[in-house]
Amino acid sequence: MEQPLSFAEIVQPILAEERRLELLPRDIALLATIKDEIERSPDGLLTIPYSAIQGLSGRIDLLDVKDPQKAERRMSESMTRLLNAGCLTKAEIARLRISADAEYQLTSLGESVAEWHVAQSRFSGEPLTAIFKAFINQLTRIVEDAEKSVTPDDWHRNVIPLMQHALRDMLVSIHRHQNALDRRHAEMRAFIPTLLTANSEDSIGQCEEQLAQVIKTIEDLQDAVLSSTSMAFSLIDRIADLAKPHAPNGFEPVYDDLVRRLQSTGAWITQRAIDWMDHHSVVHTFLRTIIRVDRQRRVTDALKRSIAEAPSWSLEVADEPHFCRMRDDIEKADHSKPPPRAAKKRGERTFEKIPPDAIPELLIRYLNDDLDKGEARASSLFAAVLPSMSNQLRVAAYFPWLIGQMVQAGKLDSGARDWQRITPLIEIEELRVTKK
Amino acid sequence: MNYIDKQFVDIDLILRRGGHINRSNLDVYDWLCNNYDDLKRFYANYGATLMQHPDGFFFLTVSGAKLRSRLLPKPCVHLGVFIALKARDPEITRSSGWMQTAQLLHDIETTVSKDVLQQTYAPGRKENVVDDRITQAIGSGLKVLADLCFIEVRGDRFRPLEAINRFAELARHDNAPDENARIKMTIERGVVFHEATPDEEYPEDDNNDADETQN
Repeated sequence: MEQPLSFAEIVQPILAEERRLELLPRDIALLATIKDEIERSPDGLLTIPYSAIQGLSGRIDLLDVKDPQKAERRMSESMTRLLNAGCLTKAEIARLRISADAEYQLTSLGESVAEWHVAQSRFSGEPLTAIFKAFINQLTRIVEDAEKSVTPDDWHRNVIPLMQHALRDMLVSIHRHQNALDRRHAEMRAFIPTLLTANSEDSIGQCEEQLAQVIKTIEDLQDAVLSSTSMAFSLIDRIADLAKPHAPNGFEPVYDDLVRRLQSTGAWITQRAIDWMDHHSVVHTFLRTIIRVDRQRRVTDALKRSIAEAPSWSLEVADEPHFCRMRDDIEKADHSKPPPRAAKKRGERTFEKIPPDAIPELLIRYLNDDLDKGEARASSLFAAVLPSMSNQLRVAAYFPWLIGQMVQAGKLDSGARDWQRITPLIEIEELRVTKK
Repeated sequence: MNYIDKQFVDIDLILRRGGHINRSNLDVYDWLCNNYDDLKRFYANYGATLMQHPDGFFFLTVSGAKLRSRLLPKPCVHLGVFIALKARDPEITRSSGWMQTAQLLHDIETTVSKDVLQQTYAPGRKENVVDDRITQAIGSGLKVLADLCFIEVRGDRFRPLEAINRFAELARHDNAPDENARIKMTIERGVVFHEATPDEEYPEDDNNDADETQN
């Protein structure tokens, strides 16, 4: 048995030989047409002459013309890329000098690339139910094999590889179908507006035909979801039940993968069915309510005219206020007001008697008395009122006021400015005024 | 008809707030169809008429004094007419009936002349704030239309519902209905022919955009 290649053995030659597969859409198209030309050949030849490839390239140019002057250059570049990619090879053994005489043949890679791309771009028409039917047939055979398998070896030989194979086959088919279906839906979405815009009886008829096809697709999708997937799941579960007593190694991952892929396929089919149904419903409604009703597009034209000016009409609609919503979550614990206090009776009011401040009056009186005698001093005035003061520290509060009174009442003696202690704590700068 | 059914409550709230019952709201639409006669009598007691439009949807017209009503403001009406026009464009089938709000703004600005836009959506506004005010008024208008079930909004896209055809009432008469048609439209479709003067004032606050009338 051939030994499997190591990782390095796989990677190194590819990197060392700088192998690459760089193909442009035009190259793939040329490759596909070369394959088609070889297959159509009545002589059963496996090669194609350079002149025939030139003819094919010219036909591609007719569909994809960019610069007619560079046809030869485009073709030679395509051929170079196909040869470098290993999709095409020269068929002659002896090197021919004239390139026009050369013959080419497809490699197995080239054939596969061409086949794969042609298959991808063609809507097979194979309905989803047919794909699932083939898958279910495969699963049924696997169930039969699983019932006959009595040892883990039997499972490894007869069941697990078949499950992997069935899964791969189904996924390839589904993937092709998915791409084709999505592409077809996109095309139909783009095509239907053109039919509806044409608005002729023929185009409407075509549109209805398209809708009938859509219905078939929707039925196919629904059938696949409702019956086929459930049938497939039941068969897979049956295989899992049969595997339990033998517990073959490697079964679980294959089983999980199968279930996961089938579930995602089911979800995809459901989503597509919804998309197709929505689209069908919209187009059908459009046909029924707009195309069929307003054949001459009078309403549409009138609407176009009416948006060109500010509306001079309106619609009257009911406008009952919304109900108040009593929200519990913002309700506060206690909203109740405190009980009102009884008003106090006038007779019960208590008054505190505050005696009027007599000190300023005393100071003024002593100031006038002293001035009558000829002079007045701030220290002597404070000394006279200190016994009447409840707080002797208030001297500081009265002093600025007293300065103003003394200056207004008498003539300031700027010479007398010595410091006088009037209490053990307070010392003031003397201020002396004489009679004016 | 059972008045404690959930569908009754939903329908009653939608109708009293000026909304429409469209086929897209299948659950309540079906309930209403089954109880149409009873509901018609029920709302008649309020001085209102439950109407079924030829396009299938239901709405309430108010004629008595027991239910309040209001007139849709000018921006809402113009926006409704514009959406009704877009709903008749075959291109709408491409996106299964949905439209992008940004695309609507672009379309309305490129289709309708600046003067009409200013006169409708930003009357009396200074030139430097007109564009912002138009965008703002269209946004508020879409919200009002969605609240009244003329359209359904999902994120940054919306789709017109059948009720949007109420804005095509005049267009069905080629924008020039005769006297009989006007009377019929007023009674059966709630259309009010409201000759707005050029210097008509609109409320500053978007929440009070609608002209309120007390019946």
